[in-house]
Amino acid sequence: MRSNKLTKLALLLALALIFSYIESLILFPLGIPGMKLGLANLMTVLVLYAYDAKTAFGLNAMRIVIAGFLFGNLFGITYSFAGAIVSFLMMVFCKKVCKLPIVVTSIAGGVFHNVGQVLFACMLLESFVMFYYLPALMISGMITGFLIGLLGKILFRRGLL
Amino acid sequence: MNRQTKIAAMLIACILIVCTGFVIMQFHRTTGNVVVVEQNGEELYRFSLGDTIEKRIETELGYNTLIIRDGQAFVQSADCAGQDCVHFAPIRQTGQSIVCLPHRITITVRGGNDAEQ
Repeated sequence: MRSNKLTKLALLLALALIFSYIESLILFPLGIPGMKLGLANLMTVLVLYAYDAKTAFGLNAMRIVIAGFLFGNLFGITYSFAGAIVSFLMMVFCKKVCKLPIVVTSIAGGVFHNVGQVLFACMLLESFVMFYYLPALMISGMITGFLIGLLGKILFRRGLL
Repeated sequence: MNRQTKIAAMLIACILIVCTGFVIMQFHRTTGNVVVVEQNGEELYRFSLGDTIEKRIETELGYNTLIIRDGQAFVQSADCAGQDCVHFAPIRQTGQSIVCLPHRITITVRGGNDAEQ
């Protein structure tokens, strides 16, 4: 790995951790836990588009584990991974197979993060009650995914990576 | 905008419309009568939504304090790290639920008026 890439990825990981921390402080007042901005996903989509899927996955996994131990708990890590893996696979599919632009990929990531978490909750609880909140969670994922994608597009255009 | 992006945009729009429809439908749900507490799909407790109850749901995984008051139910406290169940908005319409993933507990409002003890 060239030192240029290494430095940039280290900076991005640090930034992603700060975003994770900020996110742990913000609570959406809508009364559905799991609704969040997905700020850290900005780093994932940026790295996915600037580098490759392998790098993006590594960065995301490190971010989840470190943030989980710093600001969350062990259980939160497994829950985050459930959403992150589904979301990540979907984003890779969007980018590699469908060749979609960053904004659309980010929307897919936001929506499928929530879909993944609801599915995980269903498996864990052996109950489908969480599906009640899925439509609202999907809409919120779309909105935040769109905003994050837009931000990513602007940063990408300015050549910050 | 290439062809794939157009298709994706339409797909997103369709999902958005369907989801919005569901959410609007949920606003018009009827108020439920019973609150059912389940763990791993097995019913633990069943309360009437009309009562005033403070129940400490104790399981081998931990506890959640359920409050039913003024026709709505919420979790006041729990000994988990995430506190997600506490952050759920109070529930009162059929289908709404509060879940506690670490304790595998679901608290759901149901419509039936067969509140047993």
